[in-house]
Amino acid sequence: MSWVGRSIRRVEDPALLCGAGTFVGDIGGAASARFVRSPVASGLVRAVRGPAYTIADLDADEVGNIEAVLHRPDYVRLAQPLLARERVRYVGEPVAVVVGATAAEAEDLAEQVELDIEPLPAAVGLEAALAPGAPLVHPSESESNVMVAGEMATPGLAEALEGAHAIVELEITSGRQAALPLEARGSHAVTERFGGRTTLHASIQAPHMIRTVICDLLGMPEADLRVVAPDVGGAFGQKLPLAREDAVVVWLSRRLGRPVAWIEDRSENLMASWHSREQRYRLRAGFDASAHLEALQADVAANVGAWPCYPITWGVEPLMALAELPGPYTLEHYGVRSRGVASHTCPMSPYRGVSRPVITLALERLMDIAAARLGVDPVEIRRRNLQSDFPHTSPTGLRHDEGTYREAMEQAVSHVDLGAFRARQHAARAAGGPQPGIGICTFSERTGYGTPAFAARAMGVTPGYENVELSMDPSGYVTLRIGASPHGQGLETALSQIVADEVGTDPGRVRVVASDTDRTPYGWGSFASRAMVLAGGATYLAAQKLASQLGSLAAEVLEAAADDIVLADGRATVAGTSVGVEVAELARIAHHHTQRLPAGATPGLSAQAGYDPAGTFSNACHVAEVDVDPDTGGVSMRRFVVVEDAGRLINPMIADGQIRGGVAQGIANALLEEVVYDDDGNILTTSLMDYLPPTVAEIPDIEILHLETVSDATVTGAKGLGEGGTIGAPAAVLNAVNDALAHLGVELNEMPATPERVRAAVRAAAGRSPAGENDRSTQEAPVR
Amino acid sequence: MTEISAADVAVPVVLRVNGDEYRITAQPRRTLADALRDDCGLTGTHLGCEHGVCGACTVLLDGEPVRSCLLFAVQSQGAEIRTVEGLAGDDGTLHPLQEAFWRHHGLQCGFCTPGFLMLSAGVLETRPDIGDDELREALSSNLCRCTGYQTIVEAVRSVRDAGEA
Amino acid sequence: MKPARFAYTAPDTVEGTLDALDRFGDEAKVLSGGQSLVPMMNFRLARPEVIVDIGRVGGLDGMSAANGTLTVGARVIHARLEVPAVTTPDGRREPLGGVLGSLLPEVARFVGHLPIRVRGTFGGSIAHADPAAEWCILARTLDAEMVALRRGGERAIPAADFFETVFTTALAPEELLVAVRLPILGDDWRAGFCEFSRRAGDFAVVAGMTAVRLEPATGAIAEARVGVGGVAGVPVRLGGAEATLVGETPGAELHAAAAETAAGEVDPVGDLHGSAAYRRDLVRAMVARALAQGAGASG
Repeated sequence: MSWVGRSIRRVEDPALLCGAGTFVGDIGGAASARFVRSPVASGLVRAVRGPAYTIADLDADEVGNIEAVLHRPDYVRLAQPLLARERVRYVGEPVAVVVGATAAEAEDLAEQVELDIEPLPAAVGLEAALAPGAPLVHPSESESNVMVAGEMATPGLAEALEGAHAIVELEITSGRQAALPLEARGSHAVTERFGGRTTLHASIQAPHMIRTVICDLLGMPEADLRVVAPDVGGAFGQKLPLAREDAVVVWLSRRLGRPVAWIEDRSENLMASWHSREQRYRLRAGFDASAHLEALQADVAANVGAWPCYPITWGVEPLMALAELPGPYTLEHYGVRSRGVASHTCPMSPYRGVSRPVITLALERLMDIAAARLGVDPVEIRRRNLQSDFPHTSPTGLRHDEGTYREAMEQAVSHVDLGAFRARQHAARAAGGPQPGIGICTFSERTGYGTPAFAARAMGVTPGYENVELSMDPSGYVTLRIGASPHGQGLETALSQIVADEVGTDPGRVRVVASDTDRTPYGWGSFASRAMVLAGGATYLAAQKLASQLGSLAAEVLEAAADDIVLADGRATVAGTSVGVEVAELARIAHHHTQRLPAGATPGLSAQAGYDPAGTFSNACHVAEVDVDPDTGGVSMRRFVVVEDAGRLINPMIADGQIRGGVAQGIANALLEEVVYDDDGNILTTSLMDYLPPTVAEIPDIEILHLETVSDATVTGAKGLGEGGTIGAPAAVLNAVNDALAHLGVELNEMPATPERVRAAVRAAAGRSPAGENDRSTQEAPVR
Repeated sequence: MTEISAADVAVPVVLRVNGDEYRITAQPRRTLADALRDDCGLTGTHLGCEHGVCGACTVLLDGEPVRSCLLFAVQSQGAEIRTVEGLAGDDGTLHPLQEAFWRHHGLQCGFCTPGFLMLSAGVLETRPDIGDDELREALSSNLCRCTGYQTIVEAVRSVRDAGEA
Repeated sequence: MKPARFAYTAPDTVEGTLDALDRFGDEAKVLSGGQSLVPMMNFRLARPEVIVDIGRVGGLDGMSAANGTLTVGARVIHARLEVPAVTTPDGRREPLGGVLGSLLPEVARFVGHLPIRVRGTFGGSIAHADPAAEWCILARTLDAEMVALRRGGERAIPAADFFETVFTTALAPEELLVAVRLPILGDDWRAGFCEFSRRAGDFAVVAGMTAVRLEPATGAIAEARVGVGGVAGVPVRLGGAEATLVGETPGAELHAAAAETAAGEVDPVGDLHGSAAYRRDLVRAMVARALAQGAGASG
């Protein structure tokens, strides 16, 4: 019996269910740090008065600057101080830090700090930052706000566009979003009084990488810093980059010789943690007479905020858009310019899906608009354009391994019963009131990529591989130490299933150790839908090695051939016989009776392995059904269907959890969540009454169907799926909203599709077309 | 004249939590959530927003679910307070809601979980026959960023259906 | 997000409360359920020097009906208005029937979430005076009277005078809101309430309430009240829409006409959650729906 493929309960859960988890804020016993943040978007720091530490104190200790580097000629390279030096560049930028006995007292102290800042004109948002003569965010380092600019075109693009049967032009925009982990960021540093070693507990995704960069900044050997990510209350990319605050907390604890903690509050998290996805795409697409997409030209711009994030840099969103925009379609001619534009707003970091939700929105809106223009059904146009010969190489050189793009769509469409929906929609259009709409989205999710993919980005740091160490103790229990750093995904459980199968034991006898630089091999962490593929692959390889050691030992003990040994149910058995030995007995022998080991064998049972694949593509089709109220612009989610192909599923329950959570964030992206600044750069969304994550009332049940194309691109056959839900949902929802209002002539290509935007689109359509909605009429709602 | 507690003085406060009495001192401004976490050592109650929206800090106060970030410790004297630490039995037996959240995969990172458990416990204990729509409405009180909610609803519904809470 | 320091007192009588308010004047803030005040304190947007906690004061949580008036004690929690019951003069509790008995639960379910409704109070919401708060809109639409006590005096403040601007009422610093008096609408009234919010439990972007009295003989509207929240610093009554209704027979066309008048006569200020133009559209939709709901509720 295989453990892989079974929805076993998670080993992570009992402590969390009992309130016995340890999140950073639970550690306690430390003084409270509070950051004093810039109240203006742009300005010169004249003076800081009061009981605070400033950049002058860091400089006096020769603390370094953060350098997030891309080795590209079009990239502007900066040195970022840990606290603002001379200039502030966004509301919320940390300028000073105070330390109090409690959080409340630290907040009292912070109020006593006086920031003397001369305000300067600010460039807020994409258009303002790109405008001629815009105030510059980094005037000494760059003559424009364009901080990275990629450009490419395949030969023959212009001719292909010129010769196209139909040209479809489209502009889509995505509002700024916040990842909003329910636990905000935080860190807690203790420095040993003797020896001076510091232990940092921080709510982060990549402890090894964070240790390296903090040690670089503070000039410490890495042996002097232990970094632990304890229980982490969600991250979604926001806890991947270095938080300046975390480095300052380490510095404070060393300088003051006392434990210091910084527990970010929600307001800070919304204002001064990372934002994402403020992007604009202008597409020009050429289709032939049979609705085949032949050529695509794109101009992409992303507002990447005031500073790059380490180590991903502010290239991550625009350059991903450049590379991955062709999506799952068999497009031949492609040209793109993609720019990362700095502005006086909070810096940007990767957030679940990074650019892909917006890429997918752009492409899937394009497909629906082209379908309507060319008189083709939305399903049919996708059918004609989706990849079906594998491997497929995209115009940007990405190799798509085998997927089920068409199959997923066909299955989704048949599952929702499109015919019945259209009948219902027809009736509702005649009756007035809330209007049903349906939207389809097909997409690929690039997952599980290692060093080669990251090396292509030319980052100053190249993440990629994952390492694991596996050992069996004398009792026959297994300890797996991983460099990845799970934080709620259930990776420990899934990895234990892989180990259990390979060494013939029970997942309950496999303990996974993660997220502690003292106890795990160097690795990169959990992000980019990679942990199951990379840590899972390394685990599989290490487990095979361990199984081979057990097999050799069993062969010795049982006087059989090693090839004939089968490991299952805690026993090593000679195939086809009942002759066997308990694995626990083998483990005892391997440690305590090493005289019985084969000649030359290493005592003990342990293996290590690394894994560094080229990457793979998962794929999925999402279908959203909505009701749109044309009078209020309100959108209600009615139904959501996902057909997902993420290769072999290790634990289907966990996989479904990732999909559902991702879809919920995608729906939020599509309808609710937007970080808003005023023209002066003041952020208006610093509470959860203004920034609007969904409740259960806004999220429908999500029906999930699986295809399992076992991937040969990974050793386990598994592909990643952590981001897919978030990637596909926005396009499905926006397509559904547009479908609901298509009879009114509405076209809405901006997300979030807030009620106000939907209502404005209804008004605009009515204004354009006399046949459109009579805007003075008011439909009566059905009585509750 | 009624007694006045000065702003900058920590005053004695007696909290009754999960049947135990905690004698602490707290400034009037100390919220119940902070008192539970920092003074009673009951860190299972989490803080996700501190303005009453996310519900991670939900505890039961005299049987009803309340936001402990919107209550001051001094206000909470004399009430029976229950937190997530009091759900499982002394022998470690999980409460039916804890079992159900585990079985239905109603948690991922686990940060919102104590709040959802206490909200659900309060709802099912006071309204054991709550209908599906009302239950959904009640669960819309709290935020979860990981699960998409469906499995939380399924977990609570299963406990209601079994009449176990 | 921890509150600034404050001194604290928790009197157990109304008299004690009035003494404290008299002594501390505008340095003091009354804490009832705290579901609106405490978030503002956590943000340090509200920084009272002294908190006067009325959570231990008895006698403020009654509901009684007499002489066509429903008196709701200031400390009645929102949840109790989901199943409104009154205490009769002879001490029995009985469900509140009639139009108001149906309307109050319809409104109460929009008030925040369950943990807010079991803690927050009716009087607290009225005294907090958020212009989009359901109870403030109800009070204004029905011309409620707020009963305020001070040391040695009592006065009843009509809703039209009570709400002055955002979070600001006619209550003097030394006054305590002890009850709200609502007219019990007779069976010839039809009332409806409709609200648009971004998420379940959020404050309304715009909410509308309507109440019309029908001539029993003709079925025509004899008296009309139309109130909306979310368009100004206080909940407002819409005289134009009311005039459109009076003398006419309820129906989809009339409701649309009144809604159109309503949209035309509000002068909203736009903010993050809705521009002026959008709020106007919502006023049209909410007023039409409240009227339809009221008409439907009559059966």
